[in-house]
Amino acid sequence: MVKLTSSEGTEFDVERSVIERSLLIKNLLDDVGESDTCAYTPIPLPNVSGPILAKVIEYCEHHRNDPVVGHGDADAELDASGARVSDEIDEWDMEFCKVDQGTLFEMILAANYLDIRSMLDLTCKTVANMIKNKTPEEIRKTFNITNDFSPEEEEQVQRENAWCEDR
Amino acid sequence: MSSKRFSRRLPYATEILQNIFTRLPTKERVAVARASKRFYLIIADNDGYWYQQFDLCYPETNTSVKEWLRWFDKAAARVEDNHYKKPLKFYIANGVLGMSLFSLPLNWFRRYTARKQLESNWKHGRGNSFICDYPAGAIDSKNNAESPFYMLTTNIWGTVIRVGKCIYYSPLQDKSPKLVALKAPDTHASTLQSAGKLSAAVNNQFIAILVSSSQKCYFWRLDKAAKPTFSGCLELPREVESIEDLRANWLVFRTKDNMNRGKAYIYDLTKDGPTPRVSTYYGWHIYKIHELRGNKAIVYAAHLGSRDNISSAQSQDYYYNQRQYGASNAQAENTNLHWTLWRVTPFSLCTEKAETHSMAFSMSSPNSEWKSRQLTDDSYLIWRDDSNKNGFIIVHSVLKGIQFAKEFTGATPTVSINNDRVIMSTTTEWSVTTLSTKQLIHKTKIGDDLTYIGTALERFWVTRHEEGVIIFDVKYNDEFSSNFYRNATAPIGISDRGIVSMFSNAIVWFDVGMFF
Repeated sequence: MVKLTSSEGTEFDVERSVIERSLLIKNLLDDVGESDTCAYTPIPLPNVSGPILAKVIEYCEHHRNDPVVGHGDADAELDASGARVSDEIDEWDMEFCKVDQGTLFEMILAANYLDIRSMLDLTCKTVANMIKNKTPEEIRKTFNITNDFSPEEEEQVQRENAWCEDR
Repeated sequence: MSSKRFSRRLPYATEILQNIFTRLPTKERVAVARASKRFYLIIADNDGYWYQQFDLCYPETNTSVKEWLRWFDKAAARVEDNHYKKPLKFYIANGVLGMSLFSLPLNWFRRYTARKQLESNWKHGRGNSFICDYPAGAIDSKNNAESPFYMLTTNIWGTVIRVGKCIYYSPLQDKSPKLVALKAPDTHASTLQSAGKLSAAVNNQFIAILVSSSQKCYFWRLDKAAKPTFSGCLELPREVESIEDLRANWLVFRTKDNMNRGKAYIYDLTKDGPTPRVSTYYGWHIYKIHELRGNKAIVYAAHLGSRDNISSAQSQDYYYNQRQYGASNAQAENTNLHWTLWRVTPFSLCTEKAETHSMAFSMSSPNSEWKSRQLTDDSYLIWRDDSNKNGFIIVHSVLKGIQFAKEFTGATPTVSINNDRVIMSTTTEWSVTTLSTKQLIHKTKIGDDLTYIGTALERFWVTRHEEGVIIFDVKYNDEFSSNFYRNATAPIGISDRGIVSMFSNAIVWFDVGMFF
């Protein structure tokens, strides 16, 4: 077993084989070796809150038998034009991602920090699906960003891109 | 957890944003780019992706696409040099100093979106119209009469117009276009003013005007602001009949014999005096400057031969006879023109009708005419125009090894190729045929009151009637008009950027390609 500590200090016990879906933790454990130290020394994860860490563990437990996707495999998903080939999400994953927007973004950050490629891809896919068919203003609201174009830039961008509103 | 919390951490998440955005279809990515400058920069930064998207929609082997890219790059560079010389607005992203959108190098995202926007503008009649009044200098001072406008040529680079004894050029590069008189020194002015038939060619560097009656060609050089300066006069061989092509500084003339073949004379306008750089030894039907590489021009010539001319030992399929010629009269160190001659035999012209007709090629047919809409390493098109008889078109794709021939009756059709489609149009109908399968996929009869004007972007087929312009979109097989085109009641010329309409006392441009 491995002990993880969230940003608020909450401790989680999790099977090593499960949490090794996180390449960050796997590499850490590999460096430490097979000693029992890791079982009793909590691994601090200051960038991940308790509720999000619980979601991460839930994801890793469900996908414990899946092949691990590493960085080298990331490009395999791209087609010749650089677009992602598959946008399909299976049922469990879809349910897993039915969370509020803030939680989803925290999950993305956690997957990125912990280096869990498949979870990062899943959550990014979910966000991509959320912004499909949205106007620029709706996209700004989704990401909570402001329009930072200068007036000249905005005019130019509008002039060159109004076509994407054609249906 | 709110989205504000994510927002606070957003500057650290470029990789994540890239991961999200690469999952979006192309059109959705463009929508995201419009949301914020940071998103725009992340989306536009994927130059390889946008190049591939452009190439998928608009293969660069297409001559008109190449020309449009050349125009767009030049226009973007010129306008952004002139109008956006402001202190750069720096943008902080990921701890790296970012840049103003206008300080970014021109990229494939902008080319792709601008081209899409141009097509959308055509379709929705979205653009600007400009009016140029009758030029005061063209009014005949003796009887105060206004001669009619006569268009010599129009393309994406500009329009050349003859009005009475005067010739004008409009580059249409500024937001308020004007007519600029093409002036020649006194020794040449009278020849130009009194000339009968004139023909002209224009590109981004030169304007050339051929006076075939006196075998002279005058040319003007265009500076960066498209201002013309008289550069010289070529004394041409007697039999030269037409300007065949103008690309960069290379000008091609062709003669015509009674088989409608001809020699080509090719001049380098930056160097040549009265003699051309190259004249060809053989008579070919068509000459096109295909590619410019540094100071070399690669010219393709096409000739449709006869079965009788091919020995039985040769393949019974089409074949190409490719030769490299040095300049015939140039000095050794200046041999900078190469030829690629394609010879296409007619017996593989895929239809029985074409096979039957092919025998006529070996016979003298002084009234027939051969033209080329496109002549590249990808595809080219040749057709026979015999004003009194039936004829047929031939489309040949070199890369795909496909040939397509189709009969026509009456007036010569206008033909264009859009990807795998061959679009044939006459004054009464237009049809779309898939090149690879040779299947007719669409045919539309048009009303008697419509007159075909021209084709833009190899997609929009422009006709007019008394109340304005109707455009057929061959990509989606639909027709449309809009208020924007309503006043184009006298359209004369079409280019990829819009319609030029000439009235008795003014010229009106309906410009859909003004992005800058």
